[in-house]
Amino acid sequence: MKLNICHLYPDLMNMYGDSGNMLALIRRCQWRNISVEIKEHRLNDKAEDFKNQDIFFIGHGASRQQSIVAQDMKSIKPYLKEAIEEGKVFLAICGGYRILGRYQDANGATLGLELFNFYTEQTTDHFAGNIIVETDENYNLIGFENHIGKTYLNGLKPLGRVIFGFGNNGEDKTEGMRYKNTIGTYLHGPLLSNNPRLCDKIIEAALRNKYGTVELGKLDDSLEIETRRKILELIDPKFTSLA
Amino acid sequence: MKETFAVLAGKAAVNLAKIAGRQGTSIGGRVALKISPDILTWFSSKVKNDIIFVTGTNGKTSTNNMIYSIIQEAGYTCACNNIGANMEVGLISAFIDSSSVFKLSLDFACMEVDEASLPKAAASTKPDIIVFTNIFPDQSDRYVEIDALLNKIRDGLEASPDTTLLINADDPFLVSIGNLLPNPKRYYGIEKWFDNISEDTMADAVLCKKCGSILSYDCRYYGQLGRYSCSKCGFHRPVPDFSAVIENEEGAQLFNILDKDKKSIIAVKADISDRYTAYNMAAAVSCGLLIGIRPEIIIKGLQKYKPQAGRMEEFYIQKPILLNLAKNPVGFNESMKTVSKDGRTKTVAIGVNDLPQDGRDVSWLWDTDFEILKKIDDTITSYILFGRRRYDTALRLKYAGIDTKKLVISEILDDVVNNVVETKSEIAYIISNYSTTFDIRKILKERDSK
Repeated sequence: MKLNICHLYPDLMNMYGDSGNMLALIRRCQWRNISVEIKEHRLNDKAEDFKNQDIFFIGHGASRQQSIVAQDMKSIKPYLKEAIEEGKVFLAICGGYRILGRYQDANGATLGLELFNFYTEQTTDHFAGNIIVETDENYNLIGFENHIGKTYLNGLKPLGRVIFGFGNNGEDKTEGMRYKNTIGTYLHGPLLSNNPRLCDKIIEAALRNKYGTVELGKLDDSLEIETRRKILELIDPKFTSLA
Repeated sequence: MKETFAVLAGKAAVNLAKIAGRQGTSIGGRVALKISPDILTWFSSKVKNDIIFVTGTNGKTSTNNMIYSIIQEAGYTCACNNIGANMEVGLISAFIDSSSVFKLSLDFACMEVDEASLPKAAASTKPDIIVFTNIFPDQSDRYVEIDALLNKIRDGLEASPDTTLLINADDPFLVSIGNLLPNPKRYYGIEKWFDNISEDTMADAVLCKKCGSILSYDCRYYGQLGRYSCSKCGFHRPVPDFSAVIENEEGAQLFNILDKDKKSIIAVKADISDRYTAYNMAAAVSCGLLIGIRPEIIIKGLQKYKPQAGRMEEFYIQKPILLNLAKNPVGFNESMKTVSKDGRTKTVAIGVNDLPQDGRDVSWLWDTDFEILKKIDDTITSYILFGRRRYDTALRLKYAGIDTKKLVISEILDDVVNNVVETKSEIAYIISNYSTTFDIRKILKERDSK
């Protein structure tokens, strides 16, 4: 089996260890003998081959980088829309997540692809720190958030419910968004290595799209689980059981 | 009069702290500042020749201490905050240290200044020269985007238009700030490096600060440092006034500084194991030349310079153990490249904390190229992980492709040192971030048999 992963703007949208998610996807495929081919999509690249891609990934970038990318992505928007509707897997982090909806940049201008009807308002609220998010699959996502401004989902389904931390806006306890197999989230850096079950769900969804029913082989995740436990313990020992 | 009292009180506070057994590195400064809020301005009026600031993300302390060593070698008196206390009170403490209560007159002052404290310190001290090392995204100010930091530095310098800026020509961020300021500017840079160590595999695109397009590089040393130009707006690396050429010669390195006409001004044999050191030396030598110190004195000053604690500091406990502080991905990458040049069998220990001074977010572990170690994995007998985020570090190594059987996760620092000593290897390297370095260094010092 083989998966094609498209890394969107790797040289511009990579800030808080976001590319670590690519590494987690690659390794967790390789450890199961699933081969992986990476396509790096950069500024001005064409999107004709998006049809052959199974997973799309975009990380976070500084504001200037974000504006450049938001502008460039207009040309690939129809291809992305098609992929999203087909149920292709798409993971977008922080700035990459915002771009998928509408957002206000630091100068107050409204940008974004409007692939989804969510909106991020420029405010001075700074949401930074460890975060724990409970998902429908009865799995808690653990990560670090670091974002300014408030995101409102306008009825879209969130990725999960905030147990500790801020999430989309610090008000309604929602974190991230979810639509078919598209996930947007503020959880940075090692999201997929710290939350291996989410990583495996992504791989599984991509394989199912391509090959029909699949069963993923089990991996030894003892180090991942212990790491989760330690992070939770550092946040507050009362959370350790959530690992 | 008030100032004399402030100095006296500051000195008394330092002595009291010492009696109480505390390393009161900034207490004197705090006391003096309370008594006399303008004390820094007063101190700077007592400096006869030049006040030099050294600022930037990495290499401040080393560069500043090299400059101090050069000035001392020339026989001048000089105030220097050579303990790495680089905020306002740290500067005041350094002045207090080098002053007698009855007479304060100094030839020079060289101070490392935290890049975020630069505007305030520059306004009250009016330095004659500011040496810029580099600007990298750092852990402790991860919440500040680099553009905001650059703007802050630029705004802070607007009040000091006469200060000479000695800028690293290889850093496009610094050069772009310099271009926006009317100050006199001099540049240093690396012209030639003896070995072409592979470039960072995680090299992000660098945007031109002038027009926003992606810069192109003839040669990229690390981070955004290198020889760059913008094909769109013409922004480019300035020709350095002082160019370093580093050549390999019989095991050691020959460090040359050339002037604009490519004439050699200084040539000195030195052990330059990493590009950090090369940049620090280039900056210090250029500064020495700028303030009129003779080349042969500069060379002697460099030779007498002793690296400070935790910067590739050598200990010996049954085997050589090298301790290196690394504060950010660039620092870790450069340290690991140094490790990878050592062919001996090695134990590698990595310490990562997430205290406020280290930065609470450890996602930078995934911006760091631990794959450098994977490439030399056959010479590394074990990896010892310590500090509050030892598990996160272990996980990062697992995803770098390192066998988890080789990972030893250790909570107790004494165990870490025991493991380092007892694992079979000819040499050990300990790379750690800010607060872990001080913790582990204490134990290493106690057991050192060198």
